[in-house]
Parts: sequence; structure tokens; C-alpha cells
Amino acid sequence: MTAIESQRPSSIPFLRIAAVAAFVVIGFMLPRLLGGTSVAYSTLTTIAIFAVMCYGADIVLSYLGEVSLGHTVFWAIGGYAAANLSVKYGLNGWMTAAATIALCLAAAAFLGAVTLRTREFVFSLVTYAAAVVAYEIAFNWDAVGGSDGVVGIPPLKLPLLVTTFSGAMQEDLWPIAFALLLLTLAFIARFRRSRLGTTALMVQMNPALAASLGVDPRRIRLAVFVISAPITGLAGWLYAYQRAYVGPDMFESYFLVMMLTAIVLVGRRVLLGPLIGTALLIAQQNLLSLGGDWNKIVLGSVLALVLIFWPAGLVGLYRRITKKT
Amino acid sequence: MRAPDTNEILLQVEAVALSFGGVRALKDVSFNIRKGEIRAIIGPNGAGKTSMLNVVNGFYHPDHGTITFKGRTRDKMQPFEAARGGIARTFQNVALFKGMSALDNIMAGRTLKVRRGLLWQVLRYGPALREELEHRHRVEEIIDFLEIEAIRKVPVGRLPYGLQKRVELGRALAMEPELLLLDEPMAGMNLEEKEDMSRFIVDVNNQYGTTIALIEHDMAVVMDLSESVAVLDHGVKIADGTPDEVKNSQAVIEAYLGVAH
Repeated sequence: MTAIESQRPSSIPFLRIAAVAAFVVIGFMLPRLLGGTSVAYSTLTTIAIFAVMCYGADIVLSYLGEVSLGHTVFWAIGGYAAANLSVKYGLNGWMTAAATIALCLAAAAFLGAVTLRTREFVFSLVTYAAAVVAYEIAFNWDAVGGSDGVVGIPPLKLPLLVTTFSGAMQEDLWPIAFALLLLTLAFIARFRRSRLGTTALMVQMNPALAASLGVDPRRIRLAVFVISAPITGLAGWLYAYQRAYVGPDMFESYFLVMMLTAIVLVGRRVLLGPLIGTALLIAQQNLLSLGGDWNKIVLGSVLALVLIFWPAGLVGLYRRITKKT
Repeated sequence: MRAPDTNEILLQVEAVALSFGGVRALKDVSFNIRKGEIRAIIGPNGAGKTSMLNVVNGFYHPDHGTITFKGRTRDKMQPFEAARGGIARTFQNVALFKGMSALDNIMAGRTLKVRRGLLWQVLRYGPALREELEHRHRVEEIIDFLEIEAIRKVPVGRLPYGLQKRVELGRALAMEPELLLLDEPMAGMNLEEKEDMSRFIVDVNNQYGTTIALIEHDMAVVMDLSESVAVLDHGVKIADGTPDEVKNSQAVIEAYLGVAH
């Protein structure tokens, strides 16, 4: 379907490649353009990590039309895998990332299979219950860190051919976070045009019609859910290295509300939506912070206000304004 | 080339009963569809025609009775399984993805024919891309066949009703079905559109050998088109035979004139 449109011959490909290249270069240079301070580096690294975290939940929300309240589980799996495997077994970044992906796929396959028959608020509720259970396990199971968590996570090391990317300082972590963000964006862009992405949309738009075309809605639901998990998981993986500490606070509602707010703020099914949403929210917290718990209050209020007044997000608001004038 | 009319049964419906709450939509209905024929199911509004189609296609699961398709008997099946078995359908009120173009809607009918696994589809590299070109080629053939080249890029929501119905037929054809179910393919059309649609239905049957079962409440429309007609009234089959036999059946005349039972 959309695949056909993408093959339309025009001058657009060149412009698009140029725009993407400019986006990549400016994005990479952004911390330096903002003064090159370590605050700039750490803020942008956090934005990149949180945006990747949001993209996992975004796939489920935008393409299944379901609100997953359980994506903090995958976020935490990434964090705990990185922490435990690097501290206890001295594994490098590639190994912990591979473990994150494998564990997230397995956990999502299980949770996805369990929730296969549930829809809407029941789905949300069951995924939330999964997050509560996972929190209890993390809090009480001393082997993975227990209530104290895991401290002293070594700097991220990613040996590649002759060199090693190392994330000892915030400045060093930025290229890795930026690369992870780009990979995620490339994956999401492909997913949107893929048959799985378009089929998932078909199921959401008209389930009966999709079924009569031979689509097994359960298989699509499971596939989309499973694919979304390692994205959020890898964000948690990098977050562990950035903070050098992982604990049960990975399950904090802050992360959950951040995911949902960043997605709905700009609007669903917008490629850069979650990234822009995350950037706006983190910028507010780091630059215009009211301090302490106020961040959570602002986050929650923004989520509520957007859902009440502009359910289609900033994109929907823009469309409404341009249509009126 | 006309598909040879054999006596081979493609679909056999046996003693199917279906009710919604207290309302009995189908009472003990049996009929068959022979391979290669154009079969009509007619009846006044509310006779249970669409319910019958929904049973065949797996949307409804009958309370009693069985359905035998291509020699396999079952009493329950999911719609996507029917599609995989080779049953395609259109809907009474036109079901299309409104925001998408005519071309994309027909392409959606190829969903089943995609062979590459999900991961390939997400990555869209190499073989998956080649395969997509194949599907595209097939879709263009259908667009030619239905004479809708001019509107291929138009979002279907903007098309007149008659053309939407044609796009819907195209989507069903893209599935390359063995059995095509058409739910009132000519409802809401003007005379010219009805003639076009009749021609396409006959052409599909002739060129591809597709077995077609269509539902209509307008008797005149189906008489020229179909080889055999089953008549439903209040969930009961009251007649079955050639168009001429059915036309002269006393029960059918009464049902259509609304004579009290």
C-alpha cells in the first residue's frame, strides 16, 4: 500500500536524503551547538534515551490502538540486564544489549500471549498488573539487586573492530545514545511502511474487513507487541549505564507517564512525535523545573490537559488552527 | 473461457440454524454451490441472506448444522481461516479503508498472498521488495480489468458509491478467491452502474473461473445473471432451482408480494 507510493518517481528522494542528512548532522552536533557543557550533553543524552523508551510504547499505542501500562517492565529488564551482567559477569555492552533484546522478546511474548484476548481497558489493566508484579519481584529478589538495586555499573564498553566506543563520561555516552535513537527512528520508519505496520493499521481501522482479507488479528497483535518490547528495553539498557545505578525505581510511574505524555503531546502516528514530545518535556524539567515532585505534577497535568483538550495532540491542534483560518 | 459447469460441489451448507437472542435468523437452511457457477441467494429484506453469507464466511458461528467447503466439513471457523481457504467477500454497505487510495485498497486484498515472514516484512529488504513488485503487477491487472485506471490514486472516500463498489470487488479479486461472496453488489446503483457490475460479475466468472455466490433482494437483477437461485424468506429456504423455476414458484411469488402465511 504505502510501499507503492514510496516508489513514485519525483525530485523528492534527493530532498529527503538531504533533509535526513541535515537532521543527523545537526542532531549529532546539537550538544556542541548548545555550548558543549556537560549539562547540555547529559540533557540531550537523557532526551535520546527517553525518546527511545517512548517509541516502544508508541508502536503499541499508535498501531494497535492499545495503551500499554506495562512497558516499564521492558524498560526495567534492560536496566537490570545491563546492571547485573556487567557488574557480576563483566560482560561488555554488546553482550548485555543482546541479553536485553532476548529477555524483552521472551517477556513480551509471554505478556502478549496472556493479553491476547483482552482489549482496551482490560488490556491496560493486565499490563499494569504485570508491571506491579515485576516491581515486587525486583524489589524482593536479592539476586537481581533487591530493594537496594545494583550500584557501581561500569562505564559502557562497545568494542567494534579495532576501536572501542566507551561511555565513561556524559560526553562519551552521547554518540551511543544518538546512534541508538537513529537506529530506532530508522526501524520505526520501516515498520510504518512494512506490511506488518500497514496490516496492524487495517485491523485497527476495520477489524471485520481485515479478518475477511485473511488477517489473523491475534497474530498481528502479538507480533506488534513483541516487536515493541526490545525498543523500550534498549533504552533502559543505556539508562543503566548513564546513571551507573539500577533499582526498583525503574518501575516508577514517572517513566510510564513520561512515555504516554510524550506520545500524545505531539500526536499519534507521527514519526518524530515521541522525540519532540520527550524533548519538550525534558527541556521543561531541566530548564524550567519547579523542583522535586513538581515535575511529576506537571507531567501528569500535561497528559490530562492534552487528552481533554487536544486528543489529537499538537499536530491535531495545528490542523484545527490552519483549517479555521 | 467459461469455467466448465460440473456437478462438483464446492460448498455445501447443511441444516444450518442461527439465532440472535430470541430471534431466529436462519432455520434449518441447506443448499449447495457448484464449482464454477454463479449462484444467487435472494429474498425480501430480513430474510436472513446476509446472515447466511456471514455463516459461510465465518463471521457468525451457526447454532446447528455444518458447512462443507472443498470437501472439509466444519461447524465453526474464523473469518481469516475462510479467507485462507479461498473465500473472498464484499459487504452490503461497502467496507473500504476510506482514507486510502483505490490502488491501496485493492493492494490490501493481497495481504494473504504475502509469503515472506513478518521480520522480512518489517525490514523490507531484497526478496520482500521483489515480491511486492509481483503483487503490484497483479493489482494493476485487476485495475485494468475493472476499468478504474483513472481513479487509482483517489482516496476511496471521495469516490461515488458505484465506483466504491467496484473498488471493493477489485479488492476481493486481488485475493484470487475460489469462492467469491457478493453482498448486494448492485444495491444503491443506477441502471448503468448495475449493467456495468453485472458485466464484471459475468466476466470474472468467465475469465477466472471463479465460483460466485451473490445476494440480492431485487429479483430482476439476478435472473439474467445466475444459473441457480435459492430463495430465503424469514430464515427458511422456500425455493431453489433455475431462475425460471424460481420465478414461477408460488411460494416465491407470495413471499415477494407479502401474502400472509
